[in-house]
Amino acid sequence: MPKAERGLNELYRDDPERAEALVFGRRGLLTGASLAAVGAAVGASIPFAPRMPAGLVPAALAQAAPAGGPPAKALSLPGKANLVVLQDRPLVCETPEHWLDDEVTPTDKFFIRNNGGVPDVPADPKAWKIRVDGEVNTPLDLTVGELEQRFQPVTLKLQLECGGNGRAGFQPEARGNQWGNGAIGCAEYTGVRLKDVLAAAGLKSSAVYTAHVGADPHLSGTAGQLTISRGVRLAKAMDEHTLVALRMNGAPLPHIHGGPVRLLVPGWPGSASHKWLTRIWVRDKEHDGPGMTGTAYRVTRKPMIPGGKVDDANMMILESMPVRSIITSVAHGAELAPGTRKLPVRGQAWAGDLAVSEVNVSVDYGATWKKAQLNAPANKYAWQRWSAEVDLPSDGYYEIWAKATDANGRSQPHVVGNWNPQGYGGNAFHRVAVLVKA
Amino acid sequence: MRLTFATLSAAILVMTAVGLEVQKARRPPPPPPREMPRPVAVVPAAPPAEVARASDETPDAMPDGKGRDETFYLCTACHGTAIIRQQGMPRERWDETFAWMIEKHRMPDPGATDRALIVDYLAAAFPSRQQRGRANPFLNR
Repeated sequence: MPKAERGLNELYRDDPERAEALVFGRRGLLTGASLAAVGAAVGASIPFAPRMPAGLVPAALAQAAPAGGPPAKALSLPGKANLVVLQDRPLVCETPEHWLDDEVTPTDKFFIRNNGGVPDVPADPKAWKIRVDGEVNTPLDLTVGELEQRFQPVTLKLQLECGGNGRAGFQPEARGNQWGNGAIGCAEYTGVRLKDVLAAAGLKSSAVYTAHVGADPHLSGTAGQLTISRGVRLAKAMDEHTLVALRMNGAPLPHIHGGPVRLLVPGWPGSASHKWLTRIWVRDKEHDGPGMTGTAYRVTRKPMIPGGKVDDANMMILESMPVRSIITSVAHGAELAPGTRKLPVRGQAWAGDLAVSEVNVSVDYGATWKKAQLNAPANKYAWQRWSAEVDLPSDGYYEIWAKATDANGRSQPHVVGNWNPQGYGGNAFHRVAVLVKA
Repeated sequence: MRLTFATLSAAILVMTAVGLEVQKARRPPPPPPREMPRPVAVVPAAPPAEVARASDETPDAMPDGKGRDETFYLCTACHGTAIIRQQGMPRERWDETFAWMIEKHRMPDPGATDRALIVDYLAAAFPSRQQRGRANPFLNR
């Protein structure tokens, strides 16, 4: 292993682009130990700093740190931008909202949410196997290579959002990673439809729910203990946008994002989109694996007292994520030139299973709103770009607020409501403070 | 999936490496004045001044107080301190969280005496914060 460390160190120093291709593109050339060596070898350097948006890191850090919380840390990992590290064991990193300005989220800017450890990098990604069993006529063992050969490939732009996105807005504090609005990305995925794979196995009439299993090891190191195992109702599994994903933005799915194969269940909490997928277990009842029961990924049936005693019987599984919009063209804390009176703003909006019907912006704390121009999604489950121009009548401090409304007429609220102990579904307006200098 | 010792060791190595790459960043200076920040090329950043490694954390990652060491060693058997330091809860909810860790995350139960010591520490060190929301980005520049 010391030999590998030196080799990779030299590789990164001499040709970081190629090193990235090796680590993120052709992962088969590296073993898990070598990947670890990359980390140790690269250490502090940031080989892809030229891809970072200029001048945006500082405001990003200022934005993501919860008030009174620990100082923000920036991720330094080959192939990834300097995302805001919410925790490092397990690794959880948020993308500042103003880094999400691309129509398709580049891989380096995509948020990271691990629940356990990172599994070993397979020597041969094409030989990685998933098992499809349970309530099926013919249990299948399929390699990545077989998935590619047997099923029709599909390429879609799909929004993938952590169930806890917006958690920092809960009052009192909800338990978990204190996300702002940056646990979201909309990348282009290529894979095969889960429905085609399930059809190949032949669903029994008793099939009602899926259970997803991955190779991510439990943090305790206890062999065989599942880190997390969530699932979805069969109707969602059979949706033609639910993918067994093999590629992200035209490249093999990077290891840090669940490669060589993950699920992509768009519009529902990201934990259903299991990374490092090894098994789809079709069940005859609602799945009860880790992350399915108690208060995990659940919201209240009847509203509860914020911070009050939890009644597990009052909790129900969060399925579609709620409507949300973010402002991506201007950073929280941006200073504008003296005399600035008009400011073009733009961003993204999405609404779980639904389309977004309208986005409005305000610079006067919601007293008046201006309707933004809103694009149709590239395909169902892609986020939607919006843009507007706001008037700033004088120098001074303004907050730009964005409010999206879904196809059912439900808008984001002024403040996060529907308190639940683990803080799901917090979707209050995104607010960006700007200063027109005198 | 069956986990062999080798698989697990490799995974731990990867986790260690990821931890190693996390750098501490100072509270940043204000962004440059610009109307519409756009991604453009910049020169590579200088190496960070400090490198934090999750597995190298010590109890002083958390505020001093009675029960800090017991809390640190129980919790960091699985996860880093960052997730603890993000929370702010009254004692009742810390106690619920403790029960949740045992029930849902297979934390070993240390017994009533240590539980009281640890929950007392967590409630004192990480109470519910009165001030919520983000800091004013234009003050103290």
